[in-house]
Amino acid sequence: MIWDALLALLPFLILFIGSVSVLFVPERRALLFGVFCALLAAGFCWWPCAPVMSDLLLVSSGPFARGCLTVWALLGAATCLLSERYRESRRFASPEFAALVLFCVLGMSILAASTSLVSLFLGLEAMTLAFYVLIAFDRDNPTGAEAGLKYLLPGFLASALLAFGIALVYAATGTFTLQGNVSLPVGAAMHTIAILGWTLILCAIAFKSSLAPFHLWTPDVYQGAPAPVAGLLASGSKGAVFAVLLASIPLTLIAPMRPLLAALAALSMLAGTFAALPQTNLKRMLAYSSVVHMGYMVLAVLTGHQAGLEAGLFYLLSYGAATVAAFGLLASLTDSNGEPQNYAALEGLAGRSPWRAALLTLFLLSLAGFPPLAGFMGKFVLFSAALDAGYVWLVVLALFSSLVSCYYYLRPVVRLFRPSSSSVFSVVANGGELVVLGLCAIIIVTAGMYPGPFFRLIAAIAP
Amino acid sequence: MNGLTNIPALSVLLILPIIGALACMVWGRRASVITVLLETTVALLLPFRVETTVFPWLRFEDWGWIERYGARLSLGLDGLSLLLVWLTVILLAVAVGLSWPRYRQSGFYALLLISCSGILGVFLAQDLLLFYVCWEIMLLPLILCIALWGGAKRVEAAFKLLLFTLAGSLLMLLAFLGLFLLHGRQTGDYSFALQALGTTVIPADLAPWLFGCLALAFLVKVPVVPLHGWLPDAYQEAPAAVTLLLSGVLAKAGIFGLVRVAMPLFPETWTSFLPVLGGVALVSIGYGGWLAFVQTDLKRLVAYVSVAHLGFIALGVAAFNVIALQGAMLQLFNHGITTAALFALVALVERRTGNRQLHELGGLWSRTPQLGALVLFFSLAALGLPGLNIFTGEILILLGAFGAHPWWGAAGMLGVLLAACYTLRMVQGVLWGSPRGPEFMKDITRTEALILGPLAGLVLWFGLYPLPFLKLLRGPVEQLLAYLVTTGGLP
Repeated sequence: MIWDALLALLPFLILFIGSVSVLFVPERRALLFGVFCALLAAGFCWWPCAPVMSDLLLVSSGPFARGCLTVWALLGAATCLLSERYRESRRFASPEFAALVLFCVLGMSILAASTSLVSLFLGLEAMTLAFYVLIAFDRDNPTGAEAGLKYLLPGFLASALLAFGIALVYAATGTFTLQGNVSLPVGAAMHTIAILGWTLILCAIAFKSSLAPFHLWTPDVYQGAPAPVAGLLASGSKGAVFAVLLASIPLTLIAPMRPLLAALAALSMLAGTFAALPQTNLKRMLAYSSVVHMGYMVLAVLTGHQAGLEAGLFYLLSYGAATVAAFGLLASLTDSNGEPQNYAALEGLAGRSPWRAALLTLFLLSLAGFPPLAGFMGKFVLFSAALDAGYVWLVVLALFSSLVSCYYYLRPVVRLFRPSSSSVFSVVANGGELVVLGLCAIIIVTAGMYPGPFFRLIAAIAP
Repeated sequence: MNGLTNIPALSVLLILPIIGALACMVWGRRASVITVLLETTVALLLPFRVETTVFPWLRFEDWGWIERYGARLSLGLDGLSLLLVWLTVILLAVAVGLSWPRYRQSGFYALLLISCSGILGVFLAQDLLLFYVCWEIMLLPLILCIALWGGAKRVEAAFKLLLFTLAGSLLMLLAFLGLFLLHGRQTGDYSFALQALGTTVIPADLAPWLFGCLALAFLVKVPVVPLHGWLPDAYQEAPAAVTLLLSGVLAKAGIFGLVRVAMPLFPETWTSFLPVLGGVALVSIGYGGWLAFVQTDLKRLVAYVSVAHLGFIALGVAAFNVIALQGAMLQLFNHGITTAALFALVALVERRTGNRQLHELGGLWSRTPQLGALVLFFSLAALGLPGLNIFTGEILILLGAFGAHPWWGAAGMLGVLLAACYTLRMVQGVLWGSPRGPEFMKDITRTEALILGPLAGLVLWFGLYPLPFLKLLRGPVEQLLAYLVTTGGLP
């Protein structure tokens, strides 16, 4: 019994032990050790283990939780790899950084695997706590501290809302398990207090995944955070929140929540689109555009059922790969003067490092949803699922926002290829960065051109 | 020979430019020439085959793609698409040849090749998702080419083009998704195959909307007059090769889409749409011709000439009888050749004189007689001189239009008259008058002659003996009409 439970918890334990022991690893090896721990955890996910009573552990060990854990661990490994040279040029302590990244991955894994409201809270808080520090990690960067504070204050508010919401739901139903809380006997209406509780929980989740109108922290935090951390924040943390929303809390089953979700989706698409248009800073643009992408994800949540779940996961995959890669590319261009965030600073990149310019173009085009890249396939499956579920107007709105998105995604692309001699960065990407960027590019191209295997994989892990 | 005909030539045709583009990035722009040569070889070998597999097709290839959504990589080639594939390959060769002395970056050639792959995909795809993907692939590289290598206002022009056409294609995606879901719900078979979706029963209140989305997407690409806002800037700012592909092939993709995708999917709505198309076509002929007449910029002038000619093609489609359709389909090829040659000549004139304004040009005939002769030849072809290719198409279209609605034909005739006006004005401005511009100008070089010579040959061939090509087109055209009759669209 104990043995089975330990085996079920093994990946979580590896992450935890790794995040503690990395503190004792020498400065130069720490990030590589972090990569190793993350990959180890990802590998042990697929160690066969007997099913355990999940009430006891608060986390599930089903294929869905395992699949998510693998992805988050890989994201964590990618973050560590991308930070290697970044750390050298910005001079910050690597053991602490690696420990926080692993801890963050642990939080995301618990969140995605949670079977009860308690573990949901624990996972979300563990993840957020690590992010508070990671965002402000670069002490020489004044905007970093500002960003950390801006993530901290809304984060506290969100935690308070989440705790209060959980309390209300518990008061109404008397149970913490997600299964028992969401699924209702046929025909029964949900208790009003529980609906209020779920609304508060939804607000907290909207804070974390930066859905409009709770998105105001996003651009400043993205701008101030170190690029690899921003990549993890944009892909992993939002992905984990949506994974739990898609798989474990099908909020769309609760009828009164539907208009609320629809409003969140519509507002996010509109607000994100119009705010992204005038941006001239790549990270701020990515921040506002991520609000739009999260609006699309709410569409998947609204759609619900198997179709919405699979479409949502595929979309998360395509969005996550492109986002991590875009931020990673920015990290690979960083030198001791900081990140070239402004379009003006990126001008003429194609002349100096044509491959990286081509890759950044690829990632941005994928985010904009141009075929035959993964972003298009993601939008295609997502919008067709939503259309099938009857949300015609939201799909029309989504198509409109993806039309406009081409404008703000292509603006930096055009600047990349413009000849200029103003800013000279001669930073050469190191091996780790090339591996991550190359892998992301391969995923984006394959998932766009031949997505069959990805669909099969997702169908296999979907609960 | 047997072994050669058994290779999946259509798939090779699609993949080759992409491989060529990658080779360009690695090995430099030489790779693009080799790709073009290989591509031409494959395209020329297409009609030779051993056995026919599926009835209406000369060639048909089908590969699995996304089982989950019933999308397949199915490619079909018949007479119409064969002609357009040839057009695409010819114009690709012209585009590469024309850009060779001007642009050294291999990225330019890689983008042209990728776009070509998309265009071929549009002409061959028998699966709507594949069609949509190719539709986007053909456009984006050209937009990037405009934004990076265009004239002074290139970025604005590129974004204008992008927003116009992308708005259209997203509407198209919406229509495709709607159809896909309707068909899936009705039959339980979720599939994107064009043939399967044609049998969908579309609710009467939904059909005009879905059809409208598709028609808008295709008409923006042509473009016909109320939707042509992107055209003047894009054509003017784009590098010559891109202008040539935009007007020579991408415009054809719009018409092709109307006939081959919109019509089979919505036969009932199609018949009520024809008068609208006819009206739009006549407006395009008149307005395009008038604007061409008042332009002072040579490239803009040719751009509006192209709009007027595309109006004729749309008129032929709107008449929708055997003669008019055959004429329109033939004109797709003819217009592609002529307009490409004209744009190429504009580029050559501009390279020699450094100028495109009509009042700054003149006397080219005495300075560079060979170039002048080519300008005259292709202008007369565009004017519709009997014996040259545009005439063949126009006469068939007008005959058909008279058959459908006599006053359409009459109004179309006025368009021909207008064509004489603007073409002669162009010829007068460029060729005659007192010589202007630099003192010494090179006459046509051997490479340029090699590019334009075959085009002139094609103009003569299609003008004097178009019969083999009309035979090629008869099958597809009769099939289109038969389809409309059997599905109850036509009385």
